[in-house]
Amino acid sequence: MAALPSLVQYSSSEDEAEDNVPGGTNLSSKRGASSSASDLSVVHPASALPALPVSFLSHIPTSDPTAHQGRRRLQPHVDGQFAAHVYISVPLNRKTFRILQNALALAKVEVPELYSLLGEGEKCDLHISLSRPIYLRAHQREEFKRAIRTLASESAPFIASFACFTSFTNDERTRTFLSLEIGAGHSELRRLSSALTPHLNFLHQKTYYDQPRFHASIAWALLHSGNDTNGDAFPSIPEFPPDFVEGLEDKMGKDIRAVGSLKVEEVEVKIGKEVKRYSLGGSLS
Amino acid sequence: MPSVDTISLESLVSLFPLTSPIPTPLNHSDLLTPKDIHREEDLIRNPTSFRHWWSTINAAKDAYTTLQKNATSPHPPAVAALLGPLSTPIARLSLMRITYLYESALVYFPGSFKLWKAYLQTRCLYVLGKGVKPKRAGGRKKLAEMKEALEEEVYEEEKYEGGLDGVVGWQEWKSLVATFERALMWLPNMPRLWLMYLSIFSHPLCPAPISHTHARRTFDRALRTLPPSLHSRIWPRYLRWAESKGGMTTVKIYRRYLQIDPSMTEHYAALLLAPENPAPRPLEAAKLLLTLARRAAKGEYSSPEGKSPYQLFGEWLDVVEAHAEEVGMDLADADAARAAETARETETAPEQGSGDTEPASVRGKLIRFGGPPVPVGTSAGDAAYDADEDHTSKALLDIEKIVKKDGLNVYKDQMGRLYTGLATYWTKRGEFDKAKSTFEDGLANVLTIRDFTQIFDAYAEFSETLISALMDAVADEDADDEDIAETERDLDVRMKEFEELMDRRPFLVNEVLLRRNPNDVQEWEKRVALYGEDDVKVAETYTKALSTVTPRKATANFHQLYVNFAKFYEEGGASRSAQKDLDSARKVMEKATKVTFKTVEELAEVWCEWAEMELRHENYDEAIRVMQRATAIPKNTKISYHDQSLPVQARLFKSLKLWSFYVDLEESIGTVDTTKQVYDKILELKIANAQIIVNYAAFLEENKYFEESFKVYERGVEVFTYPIAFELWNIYLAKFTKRYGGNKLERARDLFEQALEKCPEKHCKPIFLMYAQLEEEHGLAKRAMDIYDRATQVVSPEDKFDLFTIYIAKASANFGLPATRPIYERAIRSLPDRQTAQMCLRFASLERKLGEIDRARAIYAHASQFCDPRVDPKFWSEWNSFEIETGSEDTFREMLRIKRSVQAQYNTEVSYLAAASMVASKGGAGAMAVDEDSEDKTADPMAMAERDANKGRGLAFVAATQKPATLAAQEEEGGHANEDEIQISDDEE
Repeated sequence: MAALPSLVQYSSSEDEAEDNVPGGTNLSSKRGASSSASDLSVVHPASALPALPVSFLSHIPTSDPTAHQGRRRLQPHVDGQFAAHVYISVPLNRKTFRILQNALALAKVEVPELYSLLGEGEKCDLHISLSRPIYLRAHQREEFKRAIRTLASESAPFIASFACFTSFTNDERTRTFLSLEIGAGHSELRRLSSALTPHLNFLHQKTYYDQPRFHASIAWALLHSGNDTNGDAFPSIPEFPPDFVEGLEDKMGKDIRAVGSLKVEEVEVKIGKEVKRYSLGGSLS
Repeated sequence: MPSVDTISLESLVSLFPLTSPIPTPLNHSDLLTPKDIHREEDLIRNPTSFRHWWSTINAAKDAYTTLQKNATSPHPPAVAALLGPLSTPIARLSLMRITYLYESALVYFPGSFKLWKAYLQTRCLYVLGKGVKPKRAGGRKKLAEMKEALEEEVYEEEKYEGGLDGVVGWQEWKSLVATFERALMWLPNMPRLWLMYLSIFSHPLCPAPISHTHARRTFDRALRTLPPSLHSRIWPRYLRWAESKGGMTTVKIYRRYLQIDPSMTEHYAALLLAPENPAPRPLEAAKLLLTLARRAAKGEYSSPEGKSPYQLFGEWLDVVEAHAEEVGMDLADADAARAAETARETETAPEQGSGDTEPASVRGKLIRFGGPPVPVGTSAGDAAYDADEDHTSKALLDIEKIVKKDGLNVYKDQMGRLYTGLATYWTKRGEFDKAKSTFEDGLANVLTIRDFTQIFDAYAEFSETLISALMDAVADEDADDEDIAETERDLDVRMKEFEELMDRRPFLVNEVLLRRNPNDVQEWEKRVALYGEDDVKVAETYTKALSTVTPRKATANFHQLYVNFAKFYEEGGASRSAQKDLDSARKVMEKATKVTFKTVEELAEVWCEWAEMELRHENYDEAIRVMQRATAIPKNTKISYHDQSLPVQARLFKSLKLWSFYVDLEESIGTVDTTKQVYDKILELKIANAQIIVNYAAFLEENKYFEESFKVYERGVEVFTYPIAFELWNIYLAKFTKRYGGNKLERARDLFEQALEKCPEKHCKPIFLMYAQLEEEHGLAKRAMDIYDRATQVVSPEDKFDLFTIYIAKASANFGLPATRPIYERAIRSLPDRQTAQMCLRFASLERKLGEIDRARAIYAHASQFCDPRVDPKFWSEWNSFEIETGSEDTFREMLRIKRSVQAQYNTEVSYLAAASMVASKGGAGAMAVDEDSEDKTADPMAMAERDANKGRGLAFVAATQKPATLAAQEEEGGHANEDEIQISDDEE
């Protein structure tokens, strides 16, 4: 804020009011300004209803994109609702980690806006998603975990491998990801993923993509958004430059494939901040 | 003696005084006659003998009375009237003679009350005329209330016939008063004398010098002289006298009296305001009434006229209304007084505040408990004097303050009257704005519709009057233009206000009702409706309603408020023209789900409404997620749905309504699996009813999960007992047989056996029929017959006949007619009598068809015992025709013989006959009753006869109303019955 002196005198509520009334027609169409409950019912243009009184609004922790590298919350916080995610964690050995770091460094040369998903040090792992982010009510958590456990115990551990570099963009087109697509193990992953479907159906959550491309993301970048007020604070790109992924593939693809097989022995589920691991039962096929 | 033509005032006045100086034979020669010498000597000889004096005086009095009777006045009637009793010379002489005698006696007996009293009475008689006292029954009440005493005083007041005129006989009056004074000098403590003395002051002819100041002083002297215990005899007369004098005299005397006895205050206040009172004193009256009202409210005063504190206060208010200007302060003064008051209060507040917070026991201060507790030490002096209650003070009253403090704060149920009164007061004073604000105040504070209507009507009337007055002013031709313009402006304002007032009425009524019960959901809804399409107001009202209503105390359907509020946002305001705000609607719903409603149903309704809202906006998944949230099952599922001590949220998961809605949603939106899961959860929770089971099964069946659907039925019949299980079995078995037909016969049989195992007899029939049908269609006919056979044994008696009929029909169809014989025989054995007869008829016709005439006849003979010829003519006519067609003369005679004997048998059974005639009159409906009643009868007619006779005996003794019927029946059959048979039946008892 200190860097933007012209914005300092605007209080945040005025900002909001500005947002609420696109086109700035509010000045001419104010009515009922003498209303005694002006703090309860903000004056709106003719078509808007009076705002809900404060007592109806539950306390929602505000999420500030600036604290999250410019990421925006796609699903607003709801009390008693937990975001959940099912994925497979792939531990990286030192060699693989180094290869990926090299690849990332190479990528950053071309797209400096990238954020790394590789952790610090060498004890990091990559995630292969088996589901979209889903939202559970508190009472559904146990049931869901139980479902994952049975699912895990019914599937055997298997071997997966990286196939190539690729890029993905999320459904809301706010972020784009640089990922490693999975080659071997795709069918097992698919089986796991589709085994989740009935549970998701029951919870009336979105199931995974019909034609899933399993992948492990290693970096992401913000995409330009329509009304981006933080444009200056957080660098974003319209999309990856053409031939960026292909170039990376040419340079590092061979190394990636040389990493060899990755043992998949566990399924993880993250519900809220809690992470549960369930080892795959059955024998190695 | 003056002659007739020279009468003048002087000549009349000069006749008096007769008794002053006291007449003696020395100065009046005609006092004694020679006849009296003997008497005088006698008295001189025995001067101390009271008896002598007494008899002498009485003898003289009697003699003079007879003398006077015959005398006629020498004066014309007008003059004679002036002179009263002393109009004749002989009367005057008699007075002098008697006075002489009494005075002489009093020389010797100056302290004799008897003598004084007689003397004074005699003297009074000559001056006042003859007093007439109205006669009254019973004695005078001692120590009566002053009010009663005063009434008695008025009633008992003496009327005088004649009497000496005060001007003419002034000297004589004076002499009488002097005699009284002398008497009282000797006997000052005799109330009788005082009363006699005081009574002359109320004589109509009493001369003015005596009847005013002298009278008052005499009353005072009487009070001073007599002990207080005797004052109650003086005061009624004194007050009565004071009232007759009027003016300040009344005021002063009454004030003095009120100090010792406040019970007359009301009377006094009435006197002060009496229309005949030339100088009314409304302020004093108002203050007195206020004092009374306050004291009555505190319980220190009870009105002798039985008025309640409120009535007294109302009277005060009436006085205030009627004399607004004289009683109340004007607006500015009142405001100033109140400002001074608040200033004083804020000064004293700190110390009082500290005093209040301190517990009573800390410093051991005394606290008064009679009445409102007030610490002894502080401000006791302040409370003692209040100018408002001091009727001698001239300070005007602050009416508004008093009405609020003593009226509105105390009589909350009379706000209407009080507010209108106060407003009337201001109107009377011409303070129209103040009156208006008072009305508004009233409308904003009343709690009942009655008060509201009272105030509102007064308000409307006030406004109308004001407007019409202003209109008159406008029409006034004399006023100058500027004034008129101003009045017109004023008029416009008033008119507008009046219209607004009329428009506001429904809102005001609604407000009143809400004030009375802020938890009245329906009133809140009305309020919302009143605002119509004003979205801001509607939203405000909803918000206020939802924050005001306490869920536990709310009237029915509190959830509806939330739902409607959400709908308001969902549909875009009341007019549906604004932007739809689904998000807010959701938030409202969210909030609603956290409200602790009175019943779980309400909460369930909220959830369902929420889900429906999502459905309306085609957010199907969201709708289901909402329901999932709603139906979240807690860890402890043992919670009782009806446990009122738990919040509704904790019990919600057992709401069948919620689950039914959820499952409906899943059926229509979700997949088969999800729906199944929901159904299973319902069954797990053990809240399912039969309908849910049936729905579940039907749902599975629709989706071709036949076996699963049957499993559901099985779970259902496991959980439920008969009779609910019967419905389930019925559907289950029907579905099962329809599905598999004969394919899984063994399983079907097993199911039927299970169903029948615990089935109560009255539900068996349909299952048996279905079972038998299954066997017929897919199994063995013999098995089917076995099932029918079993059924006839098991089913309830009322179904037996039907089953036998079916059984026989099936048997004859499968195995031919002869095979039905054993069935008929069993039917006849096991059916109740009436149906036995019917069955017999069929059996007989079967036998006849088969050519077995003798068998048929035997059956008829058997059945005849159950058929009263009068009740069942059909049976007998059939047998009759049977005999005509197939029988011989012998057999016909035999039939007739049987008929007669049966008839005779029924004739003897008096009560049965009565019952049968009743049956006949009622028709078929009654027949059933008789059947039931005789269902377990044995075939033995004697046993039956015995029982029936018993019944008759019982009836005859039970109810009187039954008796005539029985007797009538007896009489009716008198011709047929014979003594012997009745005798026999009695013997049997």
